[in-house]
Amino acid sequence: MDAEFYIDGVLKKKRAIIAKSITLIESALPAHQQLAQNILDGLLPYAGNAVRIGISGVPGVGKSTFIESFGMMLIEKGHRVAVLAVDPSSSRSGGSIMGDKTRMERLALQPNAFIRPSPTSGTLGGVAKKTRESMIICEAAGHDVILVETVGVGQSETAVASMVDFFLVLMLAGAGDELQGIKKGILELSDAIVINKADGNNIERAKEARAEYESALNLMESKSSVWSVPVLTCSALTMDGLEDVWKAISEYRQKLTEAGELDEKRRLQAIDWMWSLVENGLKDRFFENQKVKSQLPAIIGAVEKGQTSPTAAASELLSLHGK
Amino acid sequence: MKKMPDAGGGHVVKSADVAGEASQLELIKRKVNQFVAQNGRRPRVLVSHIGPSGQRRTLNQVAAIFARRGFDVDIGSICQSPQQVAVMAIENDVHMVCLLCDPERQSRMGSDLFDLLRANGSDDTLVVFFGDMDTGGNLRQTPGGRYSPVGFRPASADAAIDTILDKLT
Repeated sequence: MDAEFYIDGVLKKKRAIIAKSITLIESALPAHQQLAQNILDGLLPYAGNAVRIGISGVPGVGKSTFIESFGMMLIEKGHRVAVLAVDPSSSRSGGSIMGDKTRMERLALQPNAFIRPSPTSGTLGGVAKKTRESMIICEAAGHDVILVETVGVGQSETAVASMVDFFLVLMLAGAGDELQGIKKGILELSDAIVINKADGNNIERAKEARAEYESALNLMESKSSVWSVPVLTCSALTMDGLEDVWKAISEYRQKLTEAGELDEKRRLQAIDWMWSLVENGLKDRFFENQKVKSQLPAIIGAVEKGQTSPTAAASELLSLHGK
Repeated sequence: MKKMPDAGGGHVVKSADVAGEASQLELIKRKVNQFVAQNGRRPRVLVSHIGPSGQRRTLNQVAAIFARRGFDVDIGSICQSPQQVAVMAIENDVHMVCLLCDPERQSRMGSDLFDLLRANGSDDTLVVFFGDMDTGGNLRQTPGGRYSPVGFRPASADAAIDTILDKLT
């Protein structure tokens, strides 16, 4: 199969071809990567028109349920929704269990939805290396809303925030104590904070949490001259408040587009993307270098035994690579 | 996915290379690594249940068996239709589907699922069944297509997965 076959299939919205294109993008084989690059080059002119939304939050905050309900609402509005979910791989055996889709059962069956969980396969930061590229495939296949779900731990938020238009952070009520533990970082990244599970007995607590987050956000400098980060409440279970979340995202898009900030953001993201590819490429080349490969075990051993300092070892390895 | 002979090296791991039952797990992990070198990703399996009544717990158990041996596992749900399983298998582009299903339904569900996969251009997907019968890990090829009853309980999982891996590579 050549690139044309895949490009044609993706543009014709063929589910199996979209899926196989993403597989090629994620593949570690050089032959697959070359083919994937040709597919991407062919599809790039058709991409870029979707609303890209990153969704993060601690485990148990209800990310999957939120995406199921939010996605269903968007489908009913006539949108085509793609969900790219990133699941952590186990470091021991390398395998991973991806169970997110089971909690998106209604959405999974919609003809206008495409859900693809991806293993992180050892990428630092918790987000699959190739999520950006997968996003382009989905956009070229006519999906106009892309939801990127990420586990809300470590550096994954930063990685996702750097590839989406809108970064939404889900929180839980009763956050008085929690607020202390939440890194300032994630609040700084967010374009909206949404307090989920605002239903039943929890409504009052959600309102209190909302006030607390609003005051916490007041301490922070705004990223945009035209957007101040709202704190919303919703219940993915009862669908209450989801409409307001979509309204906020639409308003954000409109305001930033008018101010030229969205284009600017995407331009900067393109540069970010380039640098992250350079970084990955350098790392790969370093580990593929024959001299590095042959010396690495001995040098690691020397550092372990305290015979060489980490600084000296690092500079030796880098000079081996440079030769 | 076609084999990439230039990337995987020439060596093929045979059961005879590794002696003893204790190392069967290691053998499987080596085969998985070989698979990764040839295919550019881990073997990916969708574990799902078809039919009116089933247990979530068993699904999770089977998923854990595969994950521990280095597979990427998508957990489906219980009480699915062949249509639901097919959509998920296609979108996630899995190499194989491991179905939990009543023995008397297996043949019909298997061929329904296989037809759906084939209609969507995913006829290279292997379909196997998780069941109570003990076939000692023998994968039987049905004449119509690539779906096979393979009886594996957690106790005989290694033998079954070993056979499956040979089938996939």
